[in-house]
Order: sequence, then C-alpha cells, then structure tokens
Amino acid sequence: MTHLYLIRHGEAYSNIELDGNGTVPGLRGDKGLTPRGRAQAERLRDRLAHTGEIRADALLASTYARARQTAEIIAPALGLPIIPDDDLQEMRAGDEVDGMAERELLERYTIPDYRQTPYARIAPDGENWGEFILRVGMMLDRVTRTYADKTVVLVTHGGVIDASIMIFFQVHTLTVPPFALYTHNTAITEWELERHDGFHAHDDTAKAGPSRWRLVHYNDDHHIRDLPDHAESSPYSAAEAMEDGDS
Amino acid sequence: MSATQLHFIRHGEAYSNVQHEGRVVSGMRGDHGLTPRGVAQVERLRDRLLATGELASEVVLASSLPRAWQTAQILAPVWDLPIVPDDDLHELRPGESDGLPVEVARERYGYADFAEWAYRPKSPGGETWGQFVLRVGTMLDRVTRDYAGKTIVLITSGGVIHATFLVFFSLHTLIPPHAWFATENASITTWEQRPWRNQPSIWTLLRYNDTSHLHDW
Repeated sequence: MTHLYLIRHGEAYSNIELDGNGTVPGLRGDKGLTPRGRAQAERLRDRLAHTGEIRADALLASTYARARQTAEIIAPALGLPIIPDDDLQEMRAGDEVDGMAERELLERYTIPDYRQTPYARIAPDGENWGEFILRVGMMLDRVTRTYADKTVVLVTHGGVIDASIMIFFQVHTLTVPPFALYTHNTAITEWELERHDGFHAHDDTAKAGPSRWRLVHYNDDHHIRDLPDHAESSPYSAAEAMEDGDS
Repeated sequence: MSATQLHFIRHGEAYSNVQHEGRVVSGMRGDHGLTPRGVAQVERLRDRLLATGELASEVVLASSLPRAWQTAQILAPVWDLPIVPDDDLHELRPGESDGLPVEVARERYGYADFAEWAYRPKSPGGETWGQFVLRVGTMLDRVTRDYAGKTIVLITSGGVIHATFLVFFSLHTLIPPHAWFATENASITTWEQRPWRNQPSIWTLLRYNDTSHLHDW
C-alpha cells in the first residue's frame, strides 16, 4: 500500500501580515516561518519522534521558504534527507509579482475572485485555478508511481492539500468547488492507496479491480491544539488565500 | 448569523465490526451493540471531551441503532443534555436480511456491492445507495435548519459520515464515490457552515477521523 502524508507548513509571515502589509509569498517573496510557526513544527517533530507513527521512505518538500523550513525542522524525526520538489508549491501568483509588496500588488493588479472567474490569473505568468489543480494532480500521479508501495511525507501548502481532496474524490477541477477546507498549520492529512489486485474474501474469486484512494485523516493537528490561536492564521482555501495574498 | 457546527462521532467497535462466529446483519434487529473494546474506546473519548471541554455542544442527536445509542449513553455525561434519538442517523438499512447470519444473507441475497449494483438494495426492503445518501442529505438539511447557528453532536455510523462528504462536496450521490474513507470507531469528524463573503452557506471540513484519544491504543 502507498501512503501519502501531506503536512501543511507552520505559521508563516504570509499568514499573519494581512491587509496589504505582506509581500507576495512565492519562491522569492516568502519570508518563512514566524517564531510560532517554528514552535508548531517543533511540536510536530517531537510528536513524530515520540510516536514513530510515520515510517517514511521519502521526505519531499515544496521549495517555498515556509515549507522548506518546516521540513528542515521535522526531518530529524523522520531520519530522511529533504527532496525539494517545485510541484509542491502553493498556487503561483506569477514570477513578475513574486516578492512584490501587497499594497503595490493591489494597486497594479486585479485579484480575481476565483469562484466567479476561475480562468483568471493575477499576473500573466501566474497560474489560474485549473492549471494549479492540474499541476498538483500530475505531481500526485508522479509521486505515487515513483514511490509505489512506499510511505511518503510531503511538506507543502494548504492549497495543495485542498487539491488532493478534489483530485482523489473527483470533484470538478476547473472551477472552485462549492465547499471549503481549513487545513491548519503543521496539520497532517493522510491518504492510502488501497490496491484491489486480487482476492475478494466474500466469494473467494480473484478479481482485479482498480486501485482506490482512502482518506485516512484530514487536518490532524492534535500536537498544537493547546497552542493559542493556531487556527486564526489559516486561510480557507488556496483561492481565498490567493485573494488575500495569504496562504 | 453565527456558524453551525456538526460534529459526527462514529460509534465504538460493535459486534458487527468484528469477524466472529455467528455474526449477523446488523440493522435495528440484528445490532448487538458494542464490544468491551468498543465500550473502552468510547470511554476514552468521553474522558478526552470531559478533560478538554472542546465540544461545547448545544444539541446531541444519536442514531437509535443500538451500537450508536449505547455510544451516546456512555458519552452523555460530557454534555448534561438530553440525547435526541433520530432514526435518520441510521446506517444504510439492509432490508429483510436484518438479523440473519451474514453467511446466510449472502447465500440468499448475494453480496451487495454498490460499486457494481448501485441501484439494488442489500435485500428486499432495504435502501439502495442513492436512497441512503438522499436520506442523509435530507437529514442534514433538516438538522441544519432546525439548529441553525448551533453546535450539534451527531452520534452515528460510518456510512452516514461518508455520505456527508458526498452531500457537502456535491459529489454524485447515486453511486459510491471514487475515493473512500477510513473512519475509525469513536472518531470525530467536523463540518462547519459559515456565511463567508458572498456565499451564504459554504460548508468547511474542519477535521476528519480525529482519533487522537486512541493514538496509543
């Protein structure tokens, strides 16, 4: 069985610098974790070291600073090197606006309401909704094939975790779905790929069927539940986060 | 309007969840309630909720199916509220096979594989997949309107929790979904409906299958 553990980064400056005070947190503009974000990641590291609940074969991380730093903190608990993966990045606002002060962004660009205009993008070289979900779907397919029957930890972003749910449950991926997700910083979401390659106990027949993903846990954050205000800084979804310049 | 929160608790381990000699189809007639292990799981959950006070519920609804009702009785001290029985929180209804030994039911009615036969009940008088999900969707609409803005605990079965995803994710409700679930006994799954921007009623999944009280089980 293949297991994927998707972990959202700890609280980042881009999660708390609201109302136009931040910068667009892409590869260049991401200012990384806040002290509380580091503390959250340390809690997760200590939890994983204590319980040994994830026996991972590989540790992949988004190349954005907030995810990379989170991965660096938890890596010792997994005893694995970090494999950087650009496809684990959050929805991309575009290289031309990456690192721009949000005040300037809001003056010079229109931030789309992706629920109304899913095909719009912030900057010409940024992603729109469908492109983002497609990129995540292709990443999940690649990772699943590369690490078949292995356990993989992916340190990534709220939008990527949302996208995994849309992809595996076959929710329409070209428009923003009519529900929301609220993945907390450093929370764990677990998927397992159940293989139907044999045997149906009920009638003793060997009948190969398609593999099926099972959602095992979503938003498991019990290692930080007693830290104050951890939910405050979490955006609702990638689209809404992008509107706020905050994910 | 404030948020409406639905906290779904799956019953503890039931006799119908474990392989054993004489296992029967467990609808209203055949449900023999919780195993000792199931009772202990729910006691763990009760102790967690009492210690943290995290589920400040205003309404507690429970399926009248024995395994869920028994779970509700164990959890009752957490809230000091009357527990409202609700038949619409039942697991998918098996039909006339209810109470028969599982082997006998399979021999007589075949194996109900909804992936293959979505429109057939497990046995005559039972629900098809689509009827079941419609019943759950109707229940969700009713509960959400009756208790708008409140925090509600619903003690129920795994299938009902799975159906909430189909309803709130707007998935196809007449056939089973492409991905599946792993809802454990005595776990918590939370949905919240909060008015947000121009959306009057966006449902947000806050957690699925929270079993942190059983981590060292």
